[in-house]
Amino acid sequence: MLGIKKLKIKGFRGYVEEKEFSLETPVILLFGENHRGKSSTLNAIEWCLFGNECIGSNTGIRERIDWEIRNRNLPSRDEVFVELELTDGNNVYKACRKFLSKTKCNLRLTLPDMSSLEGTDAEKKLAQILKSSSFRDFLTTVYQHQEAIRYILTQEPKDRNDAIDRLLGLSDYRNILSGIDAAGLNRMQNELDNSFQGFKERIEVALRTRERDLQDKRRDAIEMGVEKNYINERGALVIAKTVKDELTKFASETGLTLRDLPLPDNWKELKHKFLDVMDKEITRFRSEMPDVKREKELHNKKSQIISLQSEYDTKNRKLKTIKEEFDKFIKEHGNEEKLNNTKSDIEKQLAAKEKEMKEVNAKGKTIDDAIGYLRMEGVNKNICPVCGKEYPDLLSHLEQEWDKKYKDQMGTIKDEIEKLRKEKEKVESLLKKEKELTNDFERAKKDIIEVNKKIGELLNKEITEKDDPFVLLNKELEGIDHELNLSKDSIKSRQEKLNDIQAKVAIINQIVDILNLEEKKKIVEEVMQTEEYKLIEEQKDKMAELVNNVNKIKEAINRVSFEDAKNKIASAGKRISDLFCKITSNPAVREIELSVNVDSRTGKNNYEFKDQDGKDLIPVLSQGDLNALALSIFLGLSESLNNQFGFIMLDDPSQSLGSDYKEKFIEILDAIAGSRTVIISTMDKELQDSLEKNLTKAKRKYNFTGWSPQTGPEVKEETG
Amino acid sequence: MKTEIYERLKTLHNKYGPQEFGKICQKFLAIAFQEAGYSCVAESERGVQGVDIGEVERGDEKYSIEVKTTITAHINYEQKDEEGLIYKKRQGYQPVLAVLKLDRFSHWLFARSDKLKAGRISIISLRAYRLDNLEGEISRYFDEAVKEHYENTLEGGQNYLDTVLRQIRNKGNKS
Repeated sequence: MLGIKKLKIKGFRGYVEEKEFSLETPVILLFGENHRGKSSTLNAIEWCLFGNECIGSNTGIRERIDWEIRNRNLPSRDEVFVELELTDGNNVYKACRKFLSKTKCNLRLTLPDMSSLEGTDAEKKLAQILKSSSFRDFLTTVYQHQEAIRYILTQEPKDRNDAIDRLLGLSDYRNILSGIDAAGLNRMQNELDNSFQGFKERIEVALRTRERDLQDKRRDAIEMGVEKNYINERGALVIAKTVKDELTKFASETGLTLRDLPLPDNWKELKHKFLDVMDKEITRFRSEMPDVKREKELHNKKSQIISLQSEYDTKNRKLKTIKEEFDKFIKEHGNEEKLNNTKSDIEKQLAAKEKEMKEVNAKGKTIDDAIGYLRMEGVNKNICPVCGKEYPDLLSHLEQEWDKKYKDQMGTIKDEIEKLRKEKEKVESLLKKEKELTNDFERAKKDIIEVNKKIGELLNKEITEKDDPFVLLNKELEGIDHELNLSKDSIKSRQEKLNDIQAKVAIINQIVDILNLEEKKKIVEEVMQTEEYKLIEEQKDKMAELVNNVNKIKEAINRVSFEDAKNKIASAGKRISDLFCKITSNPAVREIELSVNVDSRTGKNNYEFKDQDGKDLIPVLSQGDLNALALSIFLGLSESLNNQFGFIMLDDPSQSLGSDYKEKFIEILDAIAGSRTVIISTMDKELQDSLEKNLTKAKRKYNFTGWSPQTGPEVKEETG
Repeated sequence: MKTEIYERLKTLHNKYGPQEFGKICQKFLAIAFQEAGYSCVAESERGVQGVDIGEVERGDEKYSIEVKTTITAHINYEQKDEEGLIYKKRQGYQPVLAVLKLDRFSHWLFARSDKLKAGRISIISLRAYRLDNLEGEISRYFDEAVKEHYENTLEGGQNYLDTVLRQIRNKGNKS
């Protein structure tokens, strides 16, 4: 068995200055209040032997999670080390572990022959010396940690089971299982399953909308007269064939040509390759049917006739009006010849009167002519029209002279000349009027000729003066109306036939729309064919396999943990019972049976404590009893399983022990100290006194009297 | 699953309720197995062996099927289900849990059930035990069975399908 002789600590945890401890006495007592460095002393032994294995969450000791090795107050240049002298009875080894960084440390191992190993070689050798005992084994059988007792004392079954697992050295299994649970694979699996949920819901909404549209369209189709069993591809194609056959027959009957179009063999081609074309053909047939064309022609002709009639009527009236006016004129005024003759007479008379005037007084005539000239507009009234010279007030002067000298003489002749001139103007005006009337009349006659020509072209005959074009047109109209009446029924029946065919086309369109909507509903199938969907399915399969494998691993770990616990309890159970009964001396409890079973919900170990009658003890155990139980388990296991180490360490073992229990406990320790070094750290004054008084083996006492940041623990040694 | 199949099954589910729907799906499945060339589909009564479809055989393939239908993501695998299939396993049949979630994106899942423990099982976890090939093959026949017998099943429920199964068996026996 491996014992420890000496311990040297510097800069480790609570320590600043270097301190040395001799550990060769059977019992080593570390006394002192809180935060004096007692636990750091025990931790130093641990760390020296196992290095960074005893740090962090993997230890299962919660306070080790953010553990600092290097004392914060240590000057930066100072080293941190723990040196431990070990002996296996014959040989002495010196293990010195130095702190390098948070994650690194270095071991130097000095062998009995004074040679030394360093680093990995030293670690391997040390492990050999420790006979491959793990840190877990150390905690189970050598170092009873105060936290282990604390969690046994709790009333929570889960925490108690955890603590007992730890005591039994099974916390690694628990840690792995906790790690697996923390990974949340089941949750992830459910999330993967649900990842699609939002998308599925949207599809569901879209499909419900489409379903409603479908139902509406199906209802409409039935109202259109479609039988239910025709609302499918086959039905659509059957009706399409009927449409084609009926149109072909129609074309043949009406002398039209139907566009050659093959019948599609699937509904998808119906819309664009067939129905749209058929629709256009029907529209074409409606306008190109011979009857319809003829009807159109007749209507056109009828419009033309009515228009011509109107035109003829208007122009004829105009001709009549002009003729009446012309005749009236002739009657009143005579014709052109007569008017010309009248004009000629007047001109002759006028010439004679002017000659007469001239003969009476040439000068006076000249003055009269000059006055007449000067009175004209735009003429300079002061310029003589004969000589061209300017005379002021010439016109006035001439007028005075005319009035004075010539008026009486020539006045009458002048009046007569004036009168004749007026008559002449009147006749000229009549002649003009006559000419106008003649022209109008000619034009009106020409218009009538043109209208007749148009009528003749329309009626395809020459219109002569003997014909009454208006009546001829009426007759033609009657003929047209008669023909229109005759063709009306035939056209109506043909249009109805086309309506019927067109209704069938509408039905096919409706069915195609329905089939389209049904096709779109197959979006689910489309989605399931996508690479992305297939990938999700693959991932689900892989995930299920992974979860399944992990669950198998969990089951295996639980099984191993259970078996391990069972074996340990089997080997140490009796001793644990003896120790417990010795410490507690409860007359009602003569024996305890520690057993383990599997929690059906979690698969983890569940520990039960029963008395000699098989009754559950936990509900009736006090805190002191639970403390005693924890100590019994530790000491029992230590005795049964610890073969390597020649010492045990107890840190604050008496947390809830009463005085009697402490005494009994000390008796047990005294017995143990006979074969192993017992190192106890406590601040319990009563326990201290009791240990000093009642332990029969040699003791070395270290009093941790104080602590300061600059120097670390103040330790006084006493040997007893 | 195909939209048309889903919609037909949904209609049947709405009409007959979950229990009856489960039975109907069992019978469709039984027809599917028959059509796929499996023989002796003995649709056992509950309480005798407790297995829904019973044993199906085709050459070396021998399965004993427990059918579960649901609209949730879990099924309840009962103790009697487990016992029934274990019993059949001893007789040389591969116990199979046939699960159908009535969902557009779901399909039949055939899972080897010899390693399953009774309790509430998530359907997704069954994927680790899938018999892919059997699923693919029988699903096709199942779809055909639904298409063919839907209208009459809507009208006559289980009774109609019982008649169909009897006819198929009789035809099989004669040949």
